[in-house]
Amino acid sequence: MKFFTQKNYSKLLIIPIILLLIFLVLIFIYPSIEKGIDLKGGNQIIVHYPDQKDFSNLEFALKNNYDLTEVQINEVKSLSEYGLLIEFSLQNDLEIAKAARSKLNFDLDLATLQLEVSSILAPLVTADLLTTNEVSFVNLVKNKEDLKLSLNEALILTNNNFYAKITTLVTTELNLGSDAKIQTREIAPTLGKDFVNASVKVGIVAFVLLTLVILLFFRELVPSGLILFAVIFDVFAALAGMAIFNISLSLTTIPALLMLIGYSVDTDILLSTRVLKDVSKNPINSANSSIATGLTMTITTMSTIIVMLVISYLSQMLVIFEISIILLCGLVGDVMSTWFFNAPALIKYAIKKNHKN
Amino acid sequence: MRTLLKKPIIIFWIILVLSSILLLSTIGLKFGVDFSGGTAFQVILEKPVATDELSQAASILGRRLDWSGSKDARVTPSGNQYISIQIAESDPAEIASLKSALLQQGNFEAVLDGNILFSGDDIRTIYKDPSRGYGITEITKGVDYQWALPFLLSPDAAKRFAEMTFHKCTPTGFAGDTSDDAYDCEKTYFFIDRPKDAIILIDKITYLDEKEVPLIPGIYSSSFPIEDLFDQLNVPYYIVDNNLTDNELASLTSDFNSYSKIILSPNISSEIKSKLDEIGFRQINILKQENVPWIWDATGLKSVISITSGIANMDVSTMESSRFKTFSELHVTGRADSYESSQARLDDLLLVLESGSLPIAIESISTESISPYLGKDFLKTSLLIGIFALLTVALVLFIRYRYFSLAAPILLTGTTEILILLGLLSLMHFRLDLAAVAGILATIGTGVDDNIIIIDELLRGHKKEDREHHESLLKKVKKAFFIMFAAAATSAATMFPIIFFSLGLGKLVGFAVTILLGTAIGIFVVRPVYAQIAQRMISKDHK
Repeated sequence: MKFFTQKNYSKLLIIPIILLLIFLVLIFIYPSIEKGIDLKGGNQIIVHYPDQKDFSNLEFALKNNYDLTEVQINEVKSLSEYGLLIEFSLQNDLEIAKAARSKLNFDLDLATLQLEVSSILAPLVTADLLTTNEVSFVNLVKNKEDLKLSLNEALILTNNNFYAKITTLVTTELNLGSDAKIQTREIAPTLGKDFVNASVKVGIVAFVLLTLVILLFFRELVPSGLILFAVIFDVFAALAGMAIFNISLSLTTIPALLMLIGYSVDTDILLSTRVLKDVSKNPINSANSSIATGLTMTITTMSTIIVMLVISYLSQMLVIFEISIILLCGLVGDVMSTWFFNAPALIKYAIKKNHKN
Repeated sequence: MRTLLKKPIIIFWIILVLSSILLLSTIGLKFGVDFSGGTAFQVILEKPVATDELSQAASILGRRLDWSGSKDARVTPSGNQYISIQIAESDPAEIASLKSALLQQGNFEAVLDGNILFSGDDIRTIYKDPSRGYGITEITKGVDYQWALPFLLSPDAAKRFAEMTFHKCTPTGFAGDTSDDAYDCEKTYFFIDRPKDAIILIDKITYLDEKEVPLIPGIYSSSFPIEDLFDQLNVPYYIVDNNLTDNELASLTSDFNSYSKIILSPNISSEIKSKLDEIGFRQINILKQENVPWIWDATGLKSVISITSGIANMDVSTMESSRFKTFSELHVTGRADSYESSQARLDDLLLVLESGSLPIAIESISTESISPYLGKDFLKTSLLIGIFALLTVALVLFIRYRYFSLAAPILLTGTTEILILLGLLSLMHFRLDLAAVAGILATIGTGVDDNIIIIDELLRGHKKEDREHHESLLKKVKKAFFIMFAAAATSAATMFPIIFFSLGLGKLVGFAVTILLGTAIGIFVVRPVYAQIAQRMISKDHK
């Protein structure tokens, strides 16, 4: 069976271009991708338990007792287990206190500053997030530097106390014992910001290195450009999948995207090598002979990923589940980009080149 | 088969597999928080600091969390303002208290006869300057070393020190030929967070075990009676049997008016605990750690230092304080039998005297915790995925090639690839986490892809319809390796930046490391081995 023929190959090019436009809409316009809590900062509690539980009180209790601006509770079910994924924002009073701290003017004298710090911390004591003992430092400190340090620590402590209260509330509301399967995450917004910066840096350097490596191996501008385009296309396909399945960008999904680059580039390199290195042969034939190999590779990988997907779904291993979805979408994208884009474009290029010779 | 076994690459491969099995069975795999359960703290400092300051901050934070080193806290500084700490604890209440411990500076006190001689606030400077006597001097090479730690007290504290230590030595016999007279001097006790609002309840077994408290825990040293230590505390203590007597109960009940907490030794019975509950005490259970007497941990004792005759003003005979020599600058010295143990004692004491004050403020602390029950589930699931992934690969390959002797070696080499990778990771004492598992799964994937390329390159030209492709096997293998090298190089290109730029991205590093190692093992060892086997199979088949 011949997939590429003299007539059809250049028409195939239109498919990936339309798809790319759709991906861009999905990623940036609707439904678009959100940043996960490890990139934007926030709190998350995941609990697993064997029997169904009524959690309608929980949301009410959380909102009522702790004045939370944002609470999200999602139930996750699998064959063997139930689970809740709870995400919540920082506590309101704490947010206000933090804002007030950043506005503090440390040029004022110590006595005035002590008064100001007391008034910043007072609502936190009222909200039962700090004990009077924990704010006693305000009157004990000897200099401004100590005041600044202790205030900083008091705010971290507040968040800590707040978080402990919420987790206790969740475990008692759901009647979870000491052997509860629980996973908690509390990411400071500053850490999230640093993660984003580092990820961007890694992404840029990785792309530059990738370009250099491909140029080094193929030493021809057009085929290298085509491979890079295919890789970008696959990443966008995966991102579009994330947007559709409501998977956020996080420290677990970024590796999945990088993993995808490794997988998707294999088939493109295979294709380019066969079409370009066998100069004596007809590029269309070379491309056709690559399809069987390339598809075997992709299908094998896809089937292992489907295994991952099913098992991680059944056992509620959210991280692996998300990674599987991303890889699967990316690999579907890879079939498009390699055989509907890279192959026809490469055939065109090779035929032109052969004519020149 | 025999000719195959003579190939150097095959021999090398077999050696690697065998040594990996050996490594895995001796060193074994270590698991991170994801699988073993526990908590990871990510501390961000207020601003970037130099490497030595960062590692200093890291060791201080480690101590704050875990003074005795018993909780196995793993502290890793990274970048120039991050410190990550992993600890095997996941109970929410416990995490909250650990987190506040991270923020709190320990309260140092040097105590003599139950009174504070000087505290952390009284120490003006610690001289880390050899010209002032700081450091270790070799007295006899290989057997005897002396270490010294000089520090400066505030004038008030120095005066108090002189008054309190006055004539705290008594002359004893055997003056001998040393220039100093021989004295038996009292001891000072260095505490971090000496219990002030907690009663101590010690069971008979622990009491009898620790009646004689070693001066330096963990090594053979002379000892002192446990009662001496109790005298330093100013809080009530009880030595109890399996149950409380009526007297003890009455006395504890009245103590509750002034003390809300109670520290319990390991063998306190549940009867006693429920009685304490009734009274209303908050119970603090302190476990016995290896190499550290329970009483050291329970009381926060960090060091026992003897006063020397010179400092106790033994040559001044009146109590008139004007005639005292006041020493603002004090030296703590000690002897040890090796340079390393001197260094360890010196470092420990330095940390105690600095009472763990951080050189820089903490900006924020993030935590992630997983209960051990969930971690176990994760591990089971990962294993299941690994096994099923390999089986699926086998099935797909069999469907595609119907050629058992080509597909079976893919499984064999694939399995050895993981084995070698795991062996290497155990050699590196690498802690496996979820990201690393994802990396290993990715390695399986690329490995299988590469093998398919090898088979298809080799088979091309063996089918009648494309006779035109007929090339020598060697040439085909070369082409297959060109493709694989290009693919491996692109993987490496995307993974290297993670290792170099991933300041706080500890998680991603595990992922990148496993992929890089897996790729290297694949391309340099396992793939050449497979190519050898596959060549043999195909040329046999087509003769």
